[in-house]
This record gives sequence, C-alpha cells and structure tokens, in this order.
Amino acid sequence: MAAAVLLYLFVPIFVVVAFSFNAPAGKFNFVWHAFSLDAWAHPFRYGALVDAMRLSVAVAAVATAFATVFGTLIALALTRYRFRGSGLVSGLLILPLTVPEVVLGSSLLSLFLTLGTPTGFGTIVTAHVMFCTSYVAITVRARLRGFDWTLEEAAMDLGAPPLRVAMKITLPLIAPGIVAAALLSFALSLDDFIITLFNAGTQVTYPLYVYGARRAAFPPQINVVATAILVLSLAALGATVLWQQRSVRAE
Amino acid sequence: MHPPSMSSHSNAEPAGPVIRLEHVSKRFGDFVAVHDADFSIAQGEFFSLLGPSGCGKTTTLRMIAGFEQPTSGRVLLAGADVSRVPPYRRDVNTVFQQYALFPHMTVYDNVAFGPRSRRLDAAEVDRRVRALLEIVRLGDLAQRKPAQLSGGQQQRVALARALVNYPRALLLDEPLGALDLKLRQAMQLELKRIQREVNIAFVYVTHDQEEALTMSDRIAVMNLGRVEQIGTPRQIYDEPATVFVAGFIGVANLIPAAGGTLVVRPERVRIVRSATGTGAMPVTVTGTIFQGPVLRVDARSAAGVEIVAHVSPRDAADVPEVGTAAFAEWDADAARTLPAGA
Repeated sequence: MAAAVLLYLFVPIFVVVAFSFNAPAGKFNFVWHAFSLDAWAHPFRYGALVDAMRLSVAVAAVATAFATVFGTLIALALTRYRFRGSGLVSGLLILPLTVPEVVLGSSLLSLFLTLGTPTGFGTIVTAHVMFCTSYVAITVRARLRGFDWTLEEAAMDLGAPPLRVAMKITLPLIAPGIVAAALLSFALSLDDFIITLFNAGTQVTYPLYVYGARRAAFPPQINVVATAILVLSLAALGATVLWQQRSVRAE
Repeated sequence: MHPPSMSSHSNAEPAGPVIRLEHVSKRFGDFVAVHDADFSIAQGEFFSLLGPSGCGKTTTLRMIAGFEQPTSGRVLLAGADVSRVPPYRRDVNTVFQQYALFPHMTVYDNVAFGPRSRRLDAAEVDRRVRALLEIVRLGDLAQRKPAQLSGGQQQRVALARALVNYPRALLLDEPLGALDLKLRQAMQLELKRIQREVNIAFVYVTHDQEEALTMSDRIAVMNLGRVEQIGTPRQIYDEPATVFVAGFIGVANLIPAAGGTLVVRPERVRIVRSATGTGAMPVTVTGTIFQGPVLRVDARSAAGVEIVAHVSPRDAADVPEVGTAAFAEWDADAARTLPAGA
C-alpha cells in the first residue's frame, strides 16, 4: 500500500525526468519516441524559454531577498516582544497561506489596476514578496521558539552593543532557520503560477511559459530545466538538513 | 603571571564603595519586585543576596548589571550614577544561572568575546584569555565547544568569560544551582579561591542559606522585595533582626513572648526533666531523631508552641522519654527578643 502511494507520488516526477531524455517525434514532447541526450546537450536552444527562466530566477532572487529580511524581522519582533496587536499580526501571517491563490492573485490585480500600477516585473515581485514574507516569518519564528535570549544579555553584559550582539550572536545562531526560509521562499516564487498569471502583464515567467508552451510547441528542454530545478532543490534541501543537524548538535 | 589582582582601577581612586544602591525600588506594573533597597558593597567584598524565590534578589542583581532600570532610586558604580547606563557600558560582569555560553563558539572565543567587544588588540585579547583560562584551570580545553564540556567545566568557562574584562565587580546569579551537591561544594571553595585571587567584589545571588553562610563576607537577606537584614554570617545567624531572618537562616525556635517573639537556636535549648532556673518552659517531649552530628529533640508546650532542641548524641541518655513531661530551658544570652512586627 505504502509502495503504491509512493509510486503515485513519484511517477509524475519520474516522467518529467525521463522525458528530458526523449527525442519527440513532433513539436510536442508528450509521447515517448526515442532516447536522446540532445535536449541536455542544447538546453538553451529556445530563446523564449531561456528568457522565461531568467525572469523567474530574477523575480525569485529579488522577492526572496525582500521576503527574507521582512519575514525575519517580523519573526524577531513577534518572538521577542509582546506588543499591542502582536496577536493580530501572528494571525494575519497565516492569511496568505490559507486564502486561495486565485483570490490573492485577482485581488492584487484589482489593487494594481486601482492604483494605476503598470503590471510587469515590479508587480510580480510585489506579489511574491507578499506571500513569501509569510512563509519566511513562520519558518524563522519556529526556529526562534527555542532561542535562549539570555545569550543576548550575556553578550551585552560583556560589552557588545546591540548591533554586535545581532551580528555575532543572534544571527549566526538563527542562520540555519533563515537560510531554510530563504530557500523555501525562492522555491515558492520560482514555482508560482496562479498569482503570477494575474499580475505578470506581458511578462512570461517559467511556469507561465510552460503553460503557454502546451499550445505552440513543448520541447524537451522544458523537462531539462525542470529536472535541473529538481536536482538543485534536492541538493539545497540536503545541505540545509545537514547544516541544521550540525548546529543542533553544537547546542 | 597576570593578574593576581584585577582591581587596576581602584588604585588611583578614593576607597568608596564599588557598588551603591540608593533607595532603589523596582515595580513591574502593580507588582513591587524590590522595595527601597539601600546598601553599599565594598571593593573585594563577597556579598550575598539571600532569600526565597521571588524575593527580589535576582531583580536587584539585574539592576546592578543594567538589564533592569530602577523605578526609583539610583545605582552607583564606583561613585558614578549608572541607573540609565546600558549593560554594555557598565564595568561589571555577570555569571548567569544557566551559564549562557555561546553555543556556536569555542571556549576560547567565548572568553575572548568580552575583550574583542571592547576592541582590545589581538595580542592583549590573547594574553587575557590565556591568563583567565589558567585561573579557572581550563587551558587545555580552549578549542572545545560548550556542548562538549561537563557542567562544572561550563561553569568555569562562564566564570572566565565574566572576569576577562577585569570588571569592578562580578555578579553571580545562582551560579551553582545546576550542579550536583559534591561539585557544588567543590565549586564553592573554588569560587572563594578565585575571588581572593582577583580581589574584586563578588555579588552572589542564592536561595541556599548554607552556601551564603559559607562563602560571604556579608549577606543581605531579602523577603518579598525588602532587604530584611544586612550583616556578617555570624550577625545574621546570632542576631537575626526579624522573625523572617531567624526562620530562614538555620533552624530557630520562635516563641511568643510579652512584647514580641523570642528567638532561640536549637543548639542552645536543653530539654531537662526538672527545671534548673526560673525561665524554664514546661513541655511534653514529642519525638527524637538521630541526625548524625546531633540528636534532634521535638517538644510541645501546653500552649502548642513547637520547640526543637539539638543535643549531642552522647547525651542521649539524659533526654526525657517521648511522651513525658519535661522543661525546655536556655541561658539568658541565648534568647533574643524581636519586637512585634519585626
């Protein structure tokens, strides 16, 4: 039974990877034809695909940078201080995770239209920062829950002003949590389709390209890129897990 | 070998108190954590803040360290008002209850954190760290992480780290609480040795009266936010100022008397079959317990006052049988009358 469920989970991924080695008979890489390394040898053959990938990575990088800073600051504020409305903020953090993406995407679009903001790179990033910040804040807050705040007092006691305390004590100790949150944020941004669809204007990210490609042409290079993303994600995941374990042991 | 004495500051200064609390109070909302604490601590003194949990001793320490600010009153370090000075600009250091060692740093880097924060040059940092690790006898463990050390070793790192800035005073918040009894007793002697070696004031927070009596030059006994009495261990024990102090330090017989309460220590009480003087109190013996160095005799007066006497086990034969009528008596100088309300 468990094996059947696992199979069910992994078959789509397996298909994506396998079809990156396919030499399709026509324009559409949907039916197995023959084994080929051609797509791997020329992953950048289609300019539009490369542009889409480049845009997605740029969006993910910028959105993650902002979301990581905002989310970490929110998490720090929420763990450290009980302020008026802190309960409300904690509650609101979950909203972007629970509200359906269609609602988020369309609401954001109507907001941008009302404000007269031209849709494009800026609006995509804005939308991504919004939901990624929530994920980062929640992930970092989980890491901070067990944080021993006397360590900050000890550092201050020894003569370290607040900035030095943050750089030498707090940040290094919560860094594994922040990096994990940033990776999650990057992956979510890279992967987002629905919210992006509403707010992209004429811009085409990788998921939008893949979606559009099913009509005109679906080259195996799409699978190559997808497989590469998969491998990189797994590597990043593995590295973070190892790092987290090591830092947990150090404590 | 540097430094036998760390008190480089005090040489050029007038010999005033290192720490002075002037009518210091601290309130958290409606709760009065510390009420009107007013005392001084001298250079080189081992000073204990002793009391049950919640008595305000840790809050008092935290106000000296700078983690809390007094609601009213002033804290002075070497004569300067530091009430509003942040901890990182105060010339005192703290040994925390759970040590608060930085888990991501080696022993060496933990100890070096203080002088590095004060931007001393690398050679001076190194010299100090080595000197301090020597004092706490941890020289060969410098490259370990805190998690690889035993509780006692972590305690020594915390001590070295807090002394490396050569503070005017060292603040210790129940530093031995996490250790088992044997290690605690060894560390008590070790702490005294180190205190004599560095010759600065130690302000020591504890709820353990035996620990306070063993180590302190003077003790401030606190209860419910108030300092009940300050004195040498001898004074606190022999001349308790309040009923609370009498009951908290050691065992005390508290006997209602005209105009107040009579305090008599159990080792000064005799339980005898027939009274030898006029001050004897008729009692019934309710039990005897052999406690090693002493035989504990419990008795009760007709009015229901419980009396405890500590008798030498060699004199066990002289103790009246359990259940028999007897007299509790003591020499006049053994009793101390505390006025009502004290």
